Amino acid sequence: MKRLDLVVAALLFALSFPLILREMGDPPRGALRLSVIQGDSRLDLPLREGVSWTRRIEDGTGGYNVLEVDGTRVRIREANCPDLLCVDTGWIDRPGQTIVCLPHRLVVRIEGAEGGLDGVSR
Amino acid sequence: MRPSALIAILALSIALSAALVRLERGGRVAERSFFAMNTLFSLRASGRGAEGALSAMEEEVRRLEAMLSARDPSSELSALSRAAPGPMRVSPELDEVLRAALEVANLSEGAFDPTVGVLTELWGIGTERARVPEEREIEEALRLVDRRGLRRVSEMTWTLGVRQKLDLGGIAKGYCGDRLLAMARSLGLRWALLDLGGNIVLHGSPGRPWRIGIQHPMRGRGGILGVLEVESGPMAVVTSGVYERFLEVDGKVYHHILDPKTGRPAEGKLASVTVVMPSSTMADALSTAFFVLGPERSRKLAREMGARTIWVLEDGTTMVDEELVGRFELTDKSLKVVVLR
Repeated sequence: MKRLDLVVAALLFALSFPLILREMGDPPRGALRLSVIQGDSRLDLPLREGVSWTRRIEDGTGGYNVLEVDGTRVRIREANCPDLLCVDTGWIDRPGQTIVCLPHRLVVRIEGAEGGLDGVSR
Repeated sequence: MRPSALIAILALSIALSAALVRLERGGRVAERSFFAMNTLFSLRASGRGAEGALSAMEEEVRRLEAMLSARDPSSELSALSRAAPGPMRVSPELDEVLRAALEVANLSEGAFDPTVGVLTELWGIGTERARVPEEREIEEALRLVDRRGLRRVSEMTWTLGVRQKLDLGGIAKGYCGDRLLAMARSLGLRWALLDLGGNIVLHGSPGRPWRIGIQHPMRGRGGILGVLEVESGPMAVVTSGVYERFLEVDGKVYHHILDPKTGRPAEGKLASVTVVMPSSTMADALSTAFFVLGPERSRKLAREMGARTIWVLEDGTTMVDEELVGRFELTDKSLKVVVLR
């Protein structure tokens, strides 16, 4: 290996660090994700502009929540829990925001993206 | 150098750098969410063994819940209420919470009071049997709300007034936060973000300031009032507000923060108060006490305890401690901001 080759290799090695640091910065950044947690099961889905869908989530004991995703915002549109706090929460669209339905043990949370929130005090 | 060799070196460099960065950062981010203490716990941490640490933390939360719950008749706390007037010897954990609770009760001259058990049970706000009690019932319950009935008579031994009932709802989650913080420290986690049903407790930092949203008291649960930046933990950010649990009867809203003096939901033209300080236990109890006392009467105690505060009045006026100016950014620009000096 020539001396120049060594210099090039060292340069490439040094240059790869910022690249990796950006990719591995934590807490995780990048695209928005949706986490749906019910009891012990968990589902992670990407959130993308222009993609909308609705899903009915059953808790196995007759309880249900209707999850509506409209691009990068999410809400519980309908539910049969007694307090309806999950429906009252309305749309959430920022990382760190959460919708909780205590009676049905359901958690819907937006994750990811730089500049978002790590958590919400309430 | 041939192009193929260049590509090979680049690929190797990236892999090696990734491995080094991962090693330095102590592994990936671990997450765990579960329901306990009648709310949602969301724990997130980074550092070697973070997965195991969060699992141990969940176990610790369940153990503390079994000890400190006022609703569970088999808890140690319920046993102490039943044993009144006692005396009863308690566990070191219950002893520690009771001492902290009594300290805040005395400092706040009863604005926070762990003997409100009979009263919270009477209103039942946040439960299925919530109702507005009659005046006579409130008066009767108020006779049993008195912090002087709770006394530490000797090492880990407590007495309580006859028929009095303890409720640590305003401090148990906070205490839990401090226990988890101590675990995060002793297990050597690089950072941990502990969300105990909305009480945010921070350990370390992820290499940049933490960004913590503060719930907007006039909007739904997703609404954000502003963002607080915290350089690094240990730090707790606890908010008490009228929006979290309430009862609505004939168009009138009764929130869950009861004034131990009047026996009714605290009335001080306040929508919420956020307390920022390193002790999670104190932040939790003080947020309740401050909500009952209001900004004027809380100022001296907040200074003495090193608690920073953000207040939102019913009319939307937001008051921010001058120490938090520059670290708190109001996102709802329609609100008027006043700096507390």
